[in-house]
Amino acid sequence: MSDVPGKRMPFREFQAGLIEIWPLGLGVLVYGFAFGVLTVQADMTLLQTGMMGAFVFAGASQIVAVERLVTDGAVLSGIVAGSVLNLRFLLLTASLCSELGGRPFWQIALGVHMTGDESWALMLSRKNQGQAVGYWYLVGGGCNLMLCWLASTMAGNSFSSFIADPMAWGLDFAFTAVFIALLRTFWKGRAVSLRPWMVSVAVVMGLQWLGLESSWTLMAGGVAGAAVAGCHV
Amino acid sequence: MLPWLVAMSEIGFLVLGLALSTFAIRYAGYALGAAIPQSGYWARVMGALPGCLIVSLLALLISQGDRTVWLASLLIALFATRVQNLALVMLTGMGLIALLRHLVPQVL
Repeated sequence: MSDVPGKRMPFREFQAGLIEIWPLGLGVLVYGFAFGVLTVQADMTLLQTGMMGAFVFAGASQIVAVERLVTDGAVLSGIVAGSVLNLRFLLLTASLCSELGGRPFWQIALGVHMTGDESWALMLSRKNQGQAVGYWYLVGGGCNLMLCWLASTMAGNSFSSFIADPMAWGLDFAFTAVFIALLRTFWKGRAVSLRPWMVSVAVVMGLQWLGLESSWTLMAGGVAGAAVAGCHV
Repeated sequence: MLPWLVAMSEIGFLVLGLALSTFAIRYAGYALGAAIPQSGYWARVMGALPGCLIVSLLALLISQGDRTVWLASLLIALFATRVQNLALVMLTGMGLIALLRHLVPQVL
């Protein structure tokens, strides 16, 4: 792909986004399959799994929401916990004003819906490298990830019956491992991140000891840590 | 879509609720983008929130697990400091916990 700055045709830009995000799509395929297996534990059908992937399209929050449903059978706390985890999208889409501004509503709606951690980061990274990428590159990358997500979650839902005991395969640990791997990308150095993260862990442990329901414990831990981070100047 | 939702009961509500809230958050981010302070207390809070949420989630998941989960989490955390490939870390974690469950429970 050319990295010469300049305006490109929307289709070419879309195509570049679609292709260049493939390595990240492979990662989505793996944990999408594991999430698909989890949907079976929540008694979700193939159609429901596909609809959730298409309309929510936010992997971590889907995992948390369905995990809440499986563990507690709590729909509302699943929605709230998933939504809290999605609050980061506020910052992601807030940074896309130059890509989204001045477009018709349907394009803005499509653009924000296709914004994920990976597509957003890749588009901004390419832009910082001087490439002529923008809205359609973001949407192209998002489309690739959505296809990977839909295919893998629905495959996990369909073929879970071939996996007699997901725990024996370690599938229940897949998300813990993914979140551990993701966590390092949020580390901003000892001075900035250590104290808020310790506060989060302490609040979670304390509230868990007091017997508070896990979704609220999760939110309290996240908010408490972030509040402490806000005081760091 | 409505008949589908009625038939799907609590799962339908979960999907609809999460879809609406996720879109609202994404759109609100764009709509409020210009108004969000680029510096100051609230910008720092919002910037730190995702990491703190993931730390909280991990604290919950790991503390609710058994000793094999604690050990596997520690080993995977060490592994993840060396390897940046998400899929590889995940597959290694799955293999590790499966192995620990077969071999180590008697030892632990």
